[in-house]
Amino acid sequence: MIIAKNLVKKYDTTCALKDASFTIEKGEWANIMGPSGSGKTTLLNLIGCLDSPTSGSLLVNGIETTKLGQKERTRFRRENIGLVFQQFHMIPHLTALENVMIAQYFHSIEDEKEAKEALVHVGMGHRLHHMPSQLSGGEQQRVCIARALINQPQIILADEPTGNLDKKNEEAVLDIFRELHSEGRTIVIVTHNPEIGEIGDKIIQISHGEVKY
Amino acid sequence: MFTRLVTKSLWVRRERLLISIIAVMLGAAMVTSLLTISLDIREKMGKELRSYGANLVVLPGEGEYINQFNATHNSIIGSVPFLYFKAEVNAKKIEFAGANLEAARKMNPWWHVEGLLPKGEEVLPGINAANKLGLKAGDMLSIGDKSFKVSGILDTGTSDDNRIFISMETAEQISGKSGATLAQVSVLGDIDDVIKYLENKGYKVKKIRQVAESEKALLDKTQLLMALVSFFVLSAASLSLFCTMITSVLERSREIGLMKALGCGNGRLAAIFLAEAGVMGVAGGILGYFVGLLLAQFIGMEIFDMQVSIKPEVFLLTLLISILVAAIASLLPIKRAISIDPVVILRGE
Ligand SMILES: Nc1ncnc2c1ncn2[C@@H]1O[C@H](COP(=O)(O)OP(=O)(O)OP(=O)(O)O)[C@@H](O)[C@H]1O
Ligand SMILES: [Mg+2]
Repeated sequence: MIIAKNLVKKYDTTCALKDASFTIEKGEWANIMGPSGSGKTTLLNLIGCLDSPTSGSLLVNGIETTKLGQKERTRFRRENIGLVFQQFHMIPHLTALENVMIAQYFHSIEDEKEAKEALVHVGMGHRLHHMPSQLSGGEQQRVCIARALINQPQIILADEPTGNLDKKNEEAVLDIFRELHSEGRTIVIVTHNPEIGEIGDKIIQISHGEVKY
Repeated sequence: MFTRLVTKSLWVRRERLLISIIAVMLGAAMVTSLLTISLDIREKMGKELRSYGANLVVLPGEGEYINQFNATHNSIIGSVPFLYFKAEVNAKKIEFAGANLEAARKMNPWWHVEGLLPKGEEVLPGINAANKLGLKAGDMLSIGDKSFKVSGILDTGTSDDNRIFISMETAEQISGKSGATLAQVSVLGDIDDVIKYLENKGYKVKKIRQVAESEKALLDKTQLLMALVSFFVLSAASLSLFCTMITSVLERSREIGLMKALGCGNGRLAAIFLAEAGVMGVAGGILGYFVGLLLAQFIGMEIFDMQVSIKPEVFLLTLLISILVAAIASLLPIKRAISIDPVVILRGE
């Protein structure tokens, strides 16, 4: 499903990722763990086709993503990948519901009912028409998760999805991931939380850009 | 979703949006008045030019009036003396023209009389004068202490529409003057010879074509000036639009990065920004059209003494130009938006 070989990502002088090789099988739940600045977000961006590596090979869903052009990467991301960002990003002048619908719109066509259901699913049914500025960090995070899942992507990439949540909300979010996992989706989560680490099928440990797994 | 996306983001930036719309409006107003003046006044002037042919206007050489206009020359096929004067009607100053109206109509074949030519205690207002005074055929009109019946309405498409025509006798009665302020002379043949002949008799002579031609030169100059002003105002408008758009793109780079990360392709991104610019273009264009009509009317009346009429093709052209300006102004900002790298933006903070 995801096969990385000798992935290198350099930013000017810093080498954020050195020779990373690993495999994540279809339907697997992989946790990427490591200290701050070790290259976790960088790695996730590569898998999510947001960025391209300096060298190396990365097969996602059987496609060599390093060979894709910018347009094809956008299309690939739209079709295959759901992203939950480390800093929950929302469009400030759209409501929670519209922020979910926009992902549907970019993917194909919007379906308000489905978007509502997705928000209800993450426990945000009572905040459909709130603006991002009127939502707490945890609430925004849940909207972002609903948005990442709305197009039923095969691969879900989440950068510290529970970092801002209290115990109860964290459990709710983890339940969603468990459900997705049981449906056979591939899940890659960046986390500092050892409890989450235990749920996953495998842990990709990373430090100073080097992957140990 | 597309409409929501566009309208909501426009609404968030409504103040700046308004400024851009006003900028486009000013440009569009110039374009509208330029086009209206060019097309409409030119057309009307052409009408005057064509119908006058090679005719002459004879003015008094000395003094204000031609007492008895008599000219006998082989090439003169007709002449009509006119007595122009101003008088107050319903507290409005109106220009009157007294003449033998049968003869005047023959000499000005484009005159269109709705009703009858006036006889005795009757008047024939031009269509603009009639509108100004709220007159129609059959109405009564008092001038001084006398009452006149409106025998019909005259439509010429020229500045004669602003006048009220009456018979020469009535004109002399009301104004208390006698003679003519000018005479229209119809010439068939050697016009220069006729001019020499008339000048020898002590008259001032003008070729009507010359009158019209100097008006035409004025029109050309006005048009050139307006074209220049239009160009600069449009440039300023597109600059203003450009600023609005580029600021919008810079302000929203996180949002743009996010949209791209969520799978928004370049085409769609460009469409969103084009639509935002398009809204400004269309709104400014429509508003500008109406402001431009007022401006054209003002210029027409002040400079050319003509009422301009509304031309639908001017509206379409104005709208098109406004949209074009908006599109051109947003090219660079859109390029900028497309070049935004989602990774850098989303990492930010
Ligand atoms: N655009 C960039 N230009 C230069 N250096 C960068 C850029 N992006 C990331 N880096 C560097 O790459 C390294 C890895 O960054 P990354 O964001 O992947 O870390 P992380 O493991 O996600 O950390 P955290 O847990 O704090 O989110 C860091 O040293 C960072 O400074
Ligand atoms: Mg990170």
